[in-house]
Amino acid sequence: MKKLKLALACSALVAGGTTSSFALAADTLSSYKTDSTITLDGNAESAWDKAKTLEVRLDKLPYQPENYKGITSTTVNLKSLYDDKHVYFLVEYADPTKSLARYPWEKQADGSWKQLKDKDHTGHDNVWYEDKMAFFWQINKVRGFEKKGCDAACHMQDGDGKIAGIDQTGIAPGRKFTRKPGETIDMWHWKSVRLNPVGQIDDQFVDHVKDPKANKNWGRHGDSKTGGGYSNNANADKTAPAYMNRTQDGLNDYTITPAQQTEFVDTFKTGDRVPAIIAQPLTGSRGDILARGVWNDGKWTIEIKRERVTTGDNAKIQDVQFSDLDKTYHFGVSVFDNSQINHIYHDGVLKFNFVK
Amino acid sequence: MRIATLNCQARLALSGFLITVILGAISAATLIGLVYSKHDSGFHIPEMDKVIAKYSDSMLVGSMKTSMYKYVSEDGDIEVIAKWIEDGAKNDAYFKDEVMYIIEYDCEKCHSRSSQMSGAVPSMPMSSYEDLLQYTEKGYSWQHMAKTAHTHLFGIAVFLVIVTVIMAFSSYAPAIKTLLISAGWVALWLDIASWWLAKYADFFAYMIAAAGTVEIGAVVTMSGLCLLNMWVKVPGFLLEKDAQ
Repeated sequence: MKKLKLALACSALVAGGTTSSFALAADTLSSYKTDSTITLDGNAESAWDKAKTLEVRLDKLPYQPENYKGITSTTVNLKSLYDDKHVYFLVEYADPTKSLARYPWEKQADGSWKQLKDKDHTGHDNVWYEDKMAFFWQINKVRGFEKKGCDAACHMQDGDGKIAGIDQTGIAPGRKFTRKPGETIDMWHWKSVRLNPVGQIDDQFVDHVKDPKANKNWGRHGDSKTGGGYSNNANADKTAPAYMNRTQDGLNDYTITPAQQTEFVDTFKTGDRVPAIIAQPLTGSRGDILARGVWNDGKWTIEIKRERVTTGDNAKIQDVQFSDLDKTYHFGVSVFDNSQINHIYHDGVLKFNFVK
Repeated sequence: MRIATLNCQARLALSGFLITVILGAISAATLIGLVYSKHDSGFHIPEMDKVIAKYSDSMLVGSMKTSMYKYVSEDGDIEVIAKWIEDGAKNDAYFKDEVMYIIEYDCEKCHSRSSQMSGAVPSMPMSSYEDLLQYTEKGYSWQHMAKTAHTHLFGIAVFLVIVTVIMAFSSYAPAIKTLLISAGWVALWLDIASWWLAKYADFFAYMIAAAGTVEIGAVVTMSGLCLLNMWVKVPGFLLEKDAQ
């Protein structure tokens, strides 16, 4: 590589500068072998002390909705451990607000029920939603991913409001898809209301589809599932909840889990809220990833566990496989603060490897 | 009058200015190292091929090789754009199928009139042939040169005249003062003139690097020497006869 060494300037500016650079940023997360049992409870046990932290600064947003009041930057601290069968991740980041009120039902003064929503100009909510976090892992070679990370699959409206030639004005500011068939990305979508109470991450993937007729979410898909999942808690004519919780208890206040689910009986007073989400554990590939997140003192702590090698339907195209401990894996991370699609992200790609 | 004989408050005032100039020079060198390398952080030595790209290539190709490099999916994409410009930047099938394909994936997210992404540049849209044609001229255009040259010349002259006048009133030997003061000004003119001339010969891209190095080096050296002259005893062989 042709390089002019600007010796005068650099020797004056960098004391003792005999190397070509002094890089300050780390971009690699290393996973360390453990024999300990990791309990997924959102509290980092001492076993995590063995792992080194990768700090990732998130400070970019894809669009600026007028009703977005969430954070515009945060630092995500990542750690990883692995054993013979599983890989574990510890995710910690500051978020001053614990946001779980996702489209809750609220009793009105006239006795009716209303699901609270406040959509922005693109039809997405930033007020009545939930905190989320996501990983993007390259599965098969995706053009540009090993340099640009998530950006390789991010596509925003052009000057005419189109994405891939299709008008998206008022529908979506951006879409996710890869360029060509065979290019797939594993998307681990942690959702604090819809799946955290049942201890899972929504295991999804991104492929090359850019036709809403083929898939309404374009390149975004859920992994294959055999059952479970989340649904809207509404009666047949969608005018009131169908179910409610037996008790309202902290984290589950906005989610109805199987253990709590009971028929809706309206003894509520004006202003009372009932969860809008019924969640059951996913089965099949979509439920591959177990996780538990806890918000405490302005910080989310999320513990994640997945088999290093998955064997579900279509695992090769839907899941990153950590089968080679000598390989470098490429990924990105982002945080959603009470927002449906607006998220804080980082430029470039992060690397992941195993320490043997 | 010599700066070493000023009262304490006057020396404090000048020292504050000179330290600020040194910090500014370090910041500028850091930025140059980042723009002309493949890194996002830290201190780096500029890579000459990127300096040449910035001043000799078209603005579109030059940016893809330097400040926008991190958004380019693969190096081969830059060659596709360069070939299109080399062949006359025509609005043909190659432009629609190859060039816009790359622009759409790597550039248009931020370079569109309606983009709200962090760091978006809606004032430089790249959504059409007409948009892109503006950035295909080799090297600096007359307008770009005039715009960047006058802001840099005026801006740098303001602090350079202060630093050089302070140096002129230091106690150093006349030869040292003359050399450093002259070097600061001449390097500034050579640096900025080479921005324009680099489109004609790569030699001037090297001149940009050399003159820029001398310029920053002279400013930092003069500022450092003046600080020493005001606050510590300087070796006699560096000083003018009366001060020895």
